[in-house]
Amino acid sequence: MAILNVTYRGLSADLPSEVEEFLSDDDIRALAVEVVRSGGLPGLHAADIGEGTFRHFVVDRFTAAGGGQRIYLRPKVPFGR
Amino acid sequence: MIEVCFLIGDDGAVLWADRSTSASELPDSRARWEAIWRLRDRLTVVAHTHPSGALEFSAVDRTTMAALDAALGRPLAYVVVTAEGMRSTHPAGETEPWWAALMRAASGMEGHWRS
Repeated sequence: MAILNVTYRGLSADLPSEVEEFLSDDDIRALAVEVVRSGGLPGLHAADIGEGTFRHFVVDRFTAAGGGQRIYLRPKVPFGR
Repeated sequence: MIEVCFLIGDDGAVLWADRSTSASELPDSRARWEAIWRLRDRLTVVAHTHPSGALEFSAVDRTTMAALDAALGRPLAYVVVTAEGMRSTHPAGETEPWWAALMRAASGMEGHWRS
């Protein structure tokens, strides 16, 4: 299991419940849409967000300093050309 | 030549910078995102160079800009600097600031003006 952190509309928050760490990136994006729509992300309820809201976000997975699994859904930041 | 990225504060100061090893791309970077998030209260402009000379935002640039604005909950200004000019998403941002020349130097674009 892993702690999922989502950054959106100026807020970065952990989901109250852990998620399966082997969910695909697309599953993570879809899950984030659902929890933001439902108000499941502490401090943020945005019922109006679209299915593709997080399509340009990346899923960062790593082991936290304390040993637990962390998943961060954050915007991509590449530039080019 | 290489691409570079500057984060600019509301007072015009360069808050953070990084660079690529490529003349055509700045790959995704967790460190860049963490700097943007840490500095978000002061951050007003995200600027990067196009050593290729393309004075326009690429498809990658545009989707990154959309993602950043969604994450921060407010629109930033975005700037592209080339050897010959500068383009900004902000209407008042076409006058070159002091750091544009610094970006050209960091990118190795000085002396590469096209005829």
